[in-house]
Amino acid sequence: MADIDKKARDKTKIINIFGETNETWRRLKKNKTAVFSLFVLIILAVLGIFADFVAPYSYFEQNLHDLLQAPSRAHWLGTDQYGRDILSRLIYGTRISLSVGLIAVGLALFAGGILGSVAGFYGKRIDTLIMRFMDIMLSIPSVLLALAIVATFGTSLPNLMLATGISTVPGYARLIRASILSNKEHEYVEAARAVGAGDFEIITKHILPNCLAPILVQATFGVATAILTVAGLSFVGLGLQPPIAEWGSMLSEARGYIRDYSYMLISPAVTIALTVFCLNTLGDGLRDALDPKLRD
Amino acid sequence: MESNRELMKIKNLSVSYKSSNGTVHAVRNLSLTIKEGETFGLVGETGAGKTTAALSILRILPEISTESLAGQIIFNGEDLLKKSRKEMRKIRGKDIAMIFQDPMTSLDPVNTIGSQIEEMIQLHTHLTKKEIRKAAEQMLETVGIRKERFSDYPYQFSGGMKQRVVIAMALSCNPKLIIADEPTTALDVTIQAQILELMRGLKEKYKTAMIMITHDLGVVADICDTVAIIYAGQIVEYGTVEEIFYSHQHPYTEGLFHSIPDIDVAQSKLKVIEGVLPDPTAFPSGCSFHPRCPYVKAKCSQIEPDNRNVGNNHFVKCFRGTSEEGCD
Amino acid sequence: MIKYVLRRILFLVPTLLLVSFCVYAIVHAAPGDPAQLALGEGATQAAVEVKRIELGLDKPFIYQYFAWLKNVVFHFDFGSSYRSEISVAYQIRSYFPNTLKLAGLSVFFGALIGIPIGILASVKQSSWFDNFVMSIAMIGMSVPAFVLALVMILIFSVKLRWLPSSGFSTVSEMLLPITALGMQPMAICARMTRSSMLEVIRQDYIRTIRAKGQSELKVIVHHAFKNALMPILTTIGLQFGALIGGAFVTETIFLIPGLGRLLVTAVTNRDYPLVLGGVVCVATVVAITNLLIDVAYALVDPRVQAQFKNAGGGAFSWPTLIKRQGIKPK
Repeated sequence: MADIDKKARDKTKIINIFGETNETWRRLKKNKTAVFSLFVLIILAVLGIFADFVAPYSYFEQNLHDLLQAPSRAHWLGTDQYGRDILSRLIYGTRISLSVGLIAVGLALFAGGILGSVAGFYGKRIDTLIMRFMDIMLSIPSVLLALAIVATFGTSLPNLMLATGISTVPGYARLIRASILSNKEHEYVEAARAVGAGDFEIITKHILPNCLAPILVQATFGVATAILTVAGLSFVGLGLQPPIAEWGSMLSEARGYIRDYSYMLISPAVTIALTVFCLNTLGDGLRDALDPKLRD
Repeated sequence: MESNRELMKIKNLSVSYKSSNGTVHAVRNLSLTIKEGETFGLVGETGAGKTTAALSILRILPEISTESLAGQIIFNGEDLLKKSRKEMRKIRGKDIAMIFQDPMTSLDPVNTIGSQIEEMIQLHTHLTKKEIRKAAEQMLETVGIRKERFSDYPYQFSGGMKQRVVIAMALSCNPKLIIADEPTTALDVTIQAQILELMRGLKEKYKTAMIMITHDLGVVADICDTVAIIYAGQIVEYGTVEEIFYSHQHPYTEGLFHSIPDIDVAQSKLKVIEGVLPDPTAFPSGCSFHPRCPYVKAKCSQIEPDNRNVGNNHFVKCFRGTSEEGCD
Repeated sequence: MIKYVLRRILFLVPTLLLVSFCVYAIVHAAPGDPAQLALGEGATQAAVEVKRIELGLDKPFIYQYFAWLKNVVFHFDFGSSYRSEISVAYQIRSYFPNTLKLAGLSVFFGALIGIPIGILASVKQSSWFDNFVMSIAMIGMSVPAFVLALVMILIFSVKLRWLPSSGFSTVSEMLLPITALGMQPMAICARMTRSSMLEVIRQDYIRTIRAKGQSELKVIVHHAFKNALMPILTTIGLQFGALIGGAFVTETIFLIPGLGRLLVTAVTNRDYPLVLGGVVCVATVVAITNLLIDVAYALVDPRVQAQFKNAGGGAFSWPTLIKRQGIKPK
């Protein structure tokens, strides 16, 4: 009997989320720019995942006969100062940027989620403690913090992910804490307790699903910020080291050849701008689609 | 005491909004006449179109969503709907002033209440700064606020006090007509009584005509001379307070009065009018009230009734009681 | 009000302590020996040892930190760079003003252009102007400053030869960096202004003011804008703070002698005193900026002023509170 009940409850929940998702998707579809951005991002993601198959050349193989070639049929976007194909490097760069962005956001979300949940749920002293610490973190300019971490612990990929993600932790903590605070007193929490649900279960099954929307929006923007941070760090040499193809370091290398080989600059520049633009637009669109208040 | 001169005549006013579900016909062919010094009650449920009608008089409908505005609003011999923006600005506040429903959000939070009253005066008169200040202070006193509070901000006042400030603002240039859109709905009952008392006194002192928009028949009984019942964007019954209260004819009006609980009668259930307000994007055919009417006959769903004069300047938009095949 | 300001300044102290401690800990934990780096590759082991003792690096970490702290508090002495032995305070004094100028002017011009555009877009909501401007703003927000800087150098310095590509002393030298760096603040200001204005314009009291017969111009500029100002001020403050910290890439590109670049080099060289001094400076400036924004709030909104006057206003700044809520320009 209880078994059937549980199944029914779960099914209802799924339908509810599904129904909401459908509704959100319908609203999002109205925003053509957002849909276009999503489309572009999916293409970029696919390119990144299947970079090994899609890229015409390798990203580090130097071809000293074909140095500094302008875009041609053999090399669609030209070659750089070591004869490496720029298009291939961009494609591999996509893989790096997107994965760093996603993982950085994921880590930050995880950490922020735990901190925020604990702070919001258990309140009082631990709440004050955690939030004060978050505020301190907020007063360190995020880029400087990333800089310090990377310069300290080295420029390996995991470090970069940590560095870019860590300054966004307070943001997510705050968000989740707010959601928990506002939902904590709702009756369904009481009801859940009445049937013996533990704290963890209440947080994960009941409260968190409600703040999925703003988290998703902030995460989308977060990926954009992470990509920019990594590019910036790589640009000044504190990010991924050569020969890893990263958009920021490609820009840095292009600087020296700006006079006569400006194509080296344009492609990574456009790629970064396009990716970030699409992420921002998608985030915007998601926010509008998920917020019922903003309709009409 | 009302003089018999006509102050404003609304003829066939129709207003519609754009919405994601289609065109919302908020006001349909609404006509009414207001005399000088008269207090005219406009009664109806939320969504019936009362506020829309009021906003159209002053032409402050939200521009983005308004689709069409037709008809005539004759004020002082001129059609307000044909006036230019500049001319309307001169009329707003000076000839016709408006008091809005929610006093908590009607005042600009970042300016003092005194300066907001001053702004009104300054817009429509040519007094010097000193004179304006004095006039504003006087208005405050008239509504029962000490003039020492001139430089206080809205957040420092309670709801009732804020509404007094709004009333002071509305009256400051001695307008001929005040439109009061549910001025007491957002207030406690005791404060409501005070505000109504204040408004009644001021109305008599300044001989202002007033359109009192409300859904509360008690307020109507208290302060109105004439009443119009509005349903689904149309006026369905119209007459003096006595006529409407004692000899109402329209089934909707009847339903409204019957739903007021009688303090002397033991009642286990409140009486309601069956059904809900019609969808403003798709009105029922014929009489808009027919799906909910307890006296409905076949004719009611086919033809829209005219405004029938049933004597004593009492108009009803219903077939009931006529000699034509219709309701009993 | 004064009490509130004083209390905020007081709260600065523990914040700065914590910030400096954290940064010190991070940089200290780094691999790489400052003494070695100071002396260079060819130094002998013995020389490095001597240098370590000279720099106090043999002492425990906590001791080092407090030694530094003591110097700062009692002598205003931030120490000297390990390698060059130039006073940290001197270096900061020479470099920081450039960063301040760069960030300040960028935000200033960004706001100067962005805010009126935002107001206009809000008034003409959903018109072609609105959509067009907001799309441009979205692009402006997305293109990172250093990318824009490089592209502008390509166009204006290399191809057209109109403007120099480095330096920061003359107006023509400042034009490119400020434009590149100011694009993002401009876009964000425009969007934030627009969304804030839209919210305000929807309010009842705006309708009341129109019903008074006030001219539309005054309604928008005098009443609506004043009410919409707070989030806009916050955005400006946050932008300035972000630029102070993040301008190092732009400084690198344009070879501007600014604090950002200095810090990057300092971190790379494990030059602890310089890193600390720099970070403390930046954190202080950011905190003061937030304080100024809060004071501006109180000037604009009487309810805020009342909160500050009662000494129960709390020690948290509005920008922090709003940052916590993650308000993003729509």
